[in-house]
Amino acid sequence: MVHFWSIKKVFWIRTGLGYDKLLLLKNNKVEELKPKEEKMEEQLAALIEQVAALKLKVDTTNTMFAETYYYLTIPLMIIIHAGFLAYEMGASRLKNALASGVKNILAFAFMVPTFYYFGWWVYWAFPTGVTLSTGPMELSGLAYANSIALPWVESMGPNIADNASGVFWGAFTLFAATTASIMSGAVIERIQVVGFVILAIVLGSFAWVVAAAWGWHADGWLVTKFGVHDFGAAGLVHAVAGFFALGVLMNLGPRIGKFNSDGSANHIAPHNLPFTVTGLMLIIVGFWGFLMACVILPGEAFSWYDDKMATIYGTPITLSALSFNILMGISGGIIGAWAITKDPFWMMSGALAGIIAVASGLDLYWPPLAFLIAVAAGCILKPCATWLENRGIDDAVGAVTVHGTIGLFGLIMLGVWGSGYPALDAFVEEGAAPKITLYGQIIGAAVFFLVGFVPGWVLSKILSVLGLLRVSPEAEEAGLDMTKVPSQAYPEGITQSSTPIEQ
Amino acid sequence: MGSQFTDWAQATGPMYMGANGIMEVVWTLISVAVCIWALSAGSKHELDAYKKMKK
Repeated sequence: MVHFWSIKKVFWIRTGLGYDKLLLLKNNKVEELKPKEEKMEEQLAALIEQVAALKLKVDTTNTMFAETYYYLTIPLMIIIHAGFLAYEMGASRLKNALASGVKNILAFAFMVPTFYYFGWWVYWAFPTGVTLSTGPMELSGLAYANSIALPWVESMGPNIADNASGVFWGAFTLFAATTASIMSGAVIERIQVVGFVILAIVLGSFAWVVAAAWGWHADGWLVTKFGVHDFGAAGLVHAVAGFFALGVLMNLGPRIGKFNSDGSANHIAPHNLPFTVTGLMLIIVGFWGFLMACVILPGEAFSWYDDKMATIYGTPITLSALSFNILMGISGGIIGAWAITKDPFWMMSGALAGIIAVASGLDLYWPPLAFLIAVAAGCILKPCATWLENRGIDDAVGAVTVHGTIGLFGLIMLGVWGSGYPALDAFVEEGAAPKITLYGQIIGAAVFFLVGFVPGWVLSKILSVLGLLRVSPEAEEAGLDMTKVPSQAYPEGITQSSTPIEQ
Repeated sequence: MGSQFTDWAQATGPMYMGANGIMEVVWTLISVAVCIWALSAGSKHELDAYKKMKK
């Protein structure tokens, strides 16, 4: 017998002596209502299922975002290479424009497989020094590198369970290719292509990677022992590449006609300055991808944190910090170089120098301070390049100064202004992290200088002895395009307008 | 080389051709050899070009 218990939808059903079933009228159907405990258990199970499904969706979204984030840094960094290509080809004389382009393209092409073969492994094997031992974070050493970075392990190819290795490897490969391009501009118009490619491989897949392992890895001995902080790689990418180039230039020698018998220098003008300046602007565009790739996103197996972005050292950072200080750096560098030179080549080089000067501390600088440091970098740029030229070094694009000198300047500036900050954070006991100091930054600068200069000088000396470094004087005078490309950049020539606009 | 997968549900880890075999090493070494050959051939072409220019 059913009694009407509620005026709405719930009914008690009487069976025998008592009421023992509750019925619910739902969608015009009568359903049995279960005891309270049983109902709660079912609801809890359903809730757990919903939370698990939601977590899976959130995790998937986070993983896809992280993978896409690093993936997109790769084409952005390829813009750096489009820029270096235009920069070098424009800076060359008409007779060498294509040969400079070939050299630059090949540096990129050989960097990719060689970084796959051994560059990536070096980064994970070397952080504690040359002993290949495991560091305090247990993210380094021979065994760790062998497990994740040998070219035949599971993480080095398509793997449905690994959304990180490929994009990280890709981003680091582009860092490597950037170092090769930095050297490439300095040595145009007289270096042999194959000799240059060998130098590029050693710089990009070994020398700078050792510097990165030591100073850009949470287990790196420069970080754990000296508190070196180089967020945007002013020292370990730019300075290493710039001083590697200096070592090469010392053995390569100047272009024919660069210096007079009394030692004074002649200006060898670029054949296409607008192309060079545009190339520099492209490099700056690409550096947004470079610096973006220096950030560790949250919430993944590789992340320092679940809830915030971090630097490669596990210290906090935001993309807003990068936006403030990169833009201030660009502007300061341009203004500083303009104040001293009024020359568009040096102004755009100043923009690049401005970024490099503040790169070590992009995460920490107050923007007006970053601006002032960049202005200083822009101001010292041309005098430093002239100083080098007066010592018989023919750096065709100022790479040693822009990347080498300013890279070390930036690294040391962070020691001047940023001393006292903890250099590590995640997984380090409170108060136990090494501190950023001027002393540590100077040690880092000295190490990065040597890691760049020594292999550059030694290897170029060996190549010189083997006859693989410099082109023949006949080829240099005739022009490398027709000697070995063989083709002309402008087969119809470049002529002045017959009707200048002002007439 | 192909694959041992008979359907994609089995793909829970590495899914490249020749996974978990010896071929990763073989293809790596062959590709290294190609790079060395390319550099060697490039150097010969370059040095020949300089010799030709001298004549």
